[in-house]
Amino acid sequence: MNDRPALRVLHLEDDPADAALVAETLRSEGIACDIVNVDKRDAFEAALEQGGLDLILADYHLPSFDGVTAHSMAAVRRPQVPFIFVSGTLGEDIAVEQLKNGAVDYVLKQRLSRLPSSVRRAIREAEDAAERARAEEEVRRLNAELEQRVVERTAQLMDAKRLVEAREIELRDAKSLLEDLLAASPSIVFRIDPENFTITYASPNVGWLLGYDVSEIIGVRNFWRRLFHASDLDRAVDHLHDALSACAVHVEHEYRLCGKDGRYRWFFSLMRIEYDERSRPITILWYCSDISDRRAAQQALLETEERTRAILRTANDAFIGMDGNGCIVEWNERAETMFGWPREEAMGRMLSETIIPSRYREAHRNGMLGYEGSGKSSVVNQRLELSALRRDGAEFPVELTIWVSGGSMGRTFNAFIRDITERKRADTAIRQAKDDAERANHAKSEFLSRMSHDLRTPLNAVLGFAQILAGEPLSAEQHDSVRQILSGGRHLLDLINEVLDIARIESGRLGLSPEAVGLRDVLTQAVELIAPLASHRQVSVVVAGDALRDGRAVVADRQRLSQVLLNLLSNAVKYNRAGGRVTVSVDEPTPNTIRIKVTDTGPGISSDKLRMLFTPFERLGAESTGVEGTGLGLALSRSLAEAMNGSLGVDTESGRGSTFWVELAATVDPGSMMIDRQPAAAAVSPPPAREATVLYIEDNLSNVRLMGRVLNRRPGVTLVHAERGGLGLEMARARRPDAIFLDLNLPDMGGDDVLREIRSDDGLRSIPVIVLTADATNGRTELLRELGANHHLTKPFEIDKVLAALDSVLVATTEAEGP
Amino acid sequence: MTGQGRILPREDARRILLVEDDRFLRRVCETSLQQRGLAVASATNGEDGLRLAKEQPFDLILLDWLMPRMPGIEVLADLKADAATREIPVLILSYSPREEDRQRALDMGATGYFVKANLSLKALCGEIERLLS
Repeated sequence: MNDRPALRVLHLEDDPADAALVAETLRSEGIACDIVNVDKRDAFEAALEQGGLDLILADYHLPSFDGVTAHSMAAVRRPQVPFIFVSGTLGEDIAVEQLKNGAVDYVLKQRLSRLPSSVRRAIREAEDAAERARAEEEVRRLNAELEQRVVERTAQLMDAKRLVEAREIELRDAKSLLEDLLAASPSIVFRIDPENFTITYASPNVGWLLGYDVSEIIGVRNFWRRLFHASDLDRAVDHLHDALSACAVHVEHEYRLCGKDGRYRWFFSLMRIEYDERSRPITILWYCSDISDRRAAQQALLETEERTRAILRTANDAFIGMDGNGCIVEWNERAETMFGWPREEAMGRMLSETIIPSRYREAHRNGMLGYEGSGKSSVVNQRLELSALRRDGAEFPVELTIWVSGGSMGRTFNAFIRDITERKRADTAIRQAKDDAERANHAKSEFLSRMSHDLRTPLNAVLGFAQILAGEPLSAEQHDSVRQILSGGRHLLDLINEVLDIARIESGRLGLSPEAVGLRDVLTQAVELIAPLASHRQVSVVVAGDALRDGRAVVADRQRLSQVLLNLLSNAVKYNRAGGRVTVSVDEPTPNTIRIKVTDTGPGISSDKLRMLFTPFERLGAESTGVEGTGLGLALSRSLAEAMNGSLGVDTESGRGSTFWVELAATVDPGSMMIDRQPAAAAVSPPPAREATVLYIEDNLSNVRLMGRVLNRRPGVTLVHAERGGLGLEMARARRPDAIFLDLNLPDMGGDDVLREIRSDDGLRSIPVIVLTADATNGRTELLRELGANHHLTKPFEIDKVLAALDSVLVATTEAEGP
Repeated sequence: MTGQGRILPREDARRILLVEDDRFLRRVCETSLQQRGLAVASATNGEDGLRLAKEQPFDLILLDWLMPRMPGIEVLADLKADAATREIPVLILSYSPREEDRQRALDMGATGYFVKANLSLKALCGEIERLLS
């Protein structure tokens, strides 16, 4: 205790001696102390207030104060400071009570020697107490600190829990979103464990895309192989094998995957493969997108393209495409041969520099610019004929149509181009041939017309003068000669007429007027006409019972039908035996057809000659029989029958006679259609003599002389003559003739022009004109009538007809002039 | 592959810049390149990739052709226009197998062109190692 600082002691004692004794006792025992002595309440209180005390000593009995009160005050104010009573009179009871109240000890003044040990114990106890208090304080503090930490940690844990909950919600949301996305996605997602090739994840849309439940797939070894179409499995396995050995991370292919129902569809397959550090695959993520629609469209497109390619490849025409810049983008095989540019060289070249002759390139460029500007073009969608340029510089004609197709890559101008060199050549040849044919035809017509005229004009003289001679008093021999001349002349005339008819039929210029022709009329007439010849040959002509029955009619040209019937009848008479018979009969092989048959009793025709029966000029040896004939009659008759939509044929048997027949369409007889035939008797009774002047405009003098002789039969008629048309018109104006005979072929002008002049001249207009012409070409009569001819007679003319025509115009004039 | 597990890049390791927006491809490329002892920096779009290329030195750039915010073609043009980056070999990663796209990339100065479909890590890494050796 010696090293301890001096004890600070407060001593409440009223007796200074006792105070000194106490101090001395303590010091003597080696207890260092600073003692503050107080004997009053105020001082004691002040000392307590001041503090810094280690020990309080107090007497029990004090004059103005007492130790018990002091103890109470100290217990309140300084409870830690030990309090020891030092008194001479303290009773046992009080002492015990004060000890219970916290006093440390009490020491009787009489036994002061106990004080030092008491003080020491008190101080030790106080110090222990203080130490304990400090320790308790520390524990308290630590407790408080711990509690604070627990609170804070708890708060932290609460936060963490909330965070975890929030993350869980987020995760749940994300998972839900993923599930939703995958459920409706057109792509199935699988995860494959490459260790054993089981599927460890399958997105739920596998249900509606392939018909599987996820639970059927997960964990089933090698299930992925079942998903492939049998034809794609090997391929897919190879692909995956290759990918794994190359460490491929992103593998795209297209496969057919089978649904549970066995049907397959096309899928786009994407595998993403992750590897560990030893290049072993860890995971395979496999995405499968349904692309069956796209595949189908692609397939269709492919087929269309393939077909188009095939068409273009085999096309007979060149097919060329050009883009908006004028570059060639299509060039088929035919284009290669047509233009001489191989496809690989042509593609990408400027079209205009490749196939367009340089002189047209400017126009081509302008056309393109115009189309770009206005979308209009004079060439698009038109059939065009142009000149094209071959690689070797040659030009050739082409035909083409351009059309525009618009794709995503811009416009394309397309054309099929046809090389028309051959066609052009053929066209030219055809045109040439047609021109030649037309020229030849024209020449033929010209020739026929000329022949007609040239042959008839002299024949006119021959027959005319022969007829006049026949009326003269001649010896029998002379008469016979004249008859021979007339017979030969008429035969020649028939020949010319038939040749002309055949020529007309061949050239399609035979004018026909089909009408209903009553059979009774036409047959009666024909039989009447043939009667003189028949009686001359001693052949009887018989018309079968009902042939002339009323009401039968055929569709025919009346004139031509007569001609055919006459031909058949005259043949039947001419090639009959003497005393033979010709039978005319009619039947109806079908309800709409009438067949007129002419049957003879001649020798018949052998089958080897039948073939040539209808060949022109073929007389089957008749030329040696003395029978007159042209050899044209049957050929012409058949042609005429056919021209009238009928037919003509023969049934014959050698030695048993022949039946020639003509078949025509039946029709209804128009009834009482009586033909107004001028009786030949007109010439027999000449009209009363009348003074008249007749002008004959004709360059052929023998014809003029013939006419002079003919007009001798009309004593009152004076003939004046002009050799040329112009002269004829002058004479007509000077003489005002009563009638004009006009030849059509005059040296200075055409007879038709003379006629026109006459009809347009007021002074001449009323003069009747009779046209005489050797030109028997069909259609002239109609034309001449239109021009104003009163009559048209063909040369060689029959005298009777000339007189009849003249009489009729003179009578008409007389009547018009009459009273 | 070395078979020794991942090798952490050494201080002097060659540096690769990987510009790729596809997370999966970025991951597998990063992993694979790091396994070969290469240092890999990644960017997920063209802008970031170009910025990184200008801030740091790289020995090779792997560049995606189609990316958000600046496509690969623009990044490449910029890299080749800048003297500081012009010499860095650039390998293109593209989805397009079209020859004209490949030619275009090569014409613009790319060193190689890889089509992502069926992209082989062995081939890609082999080419990178060849270029760096």
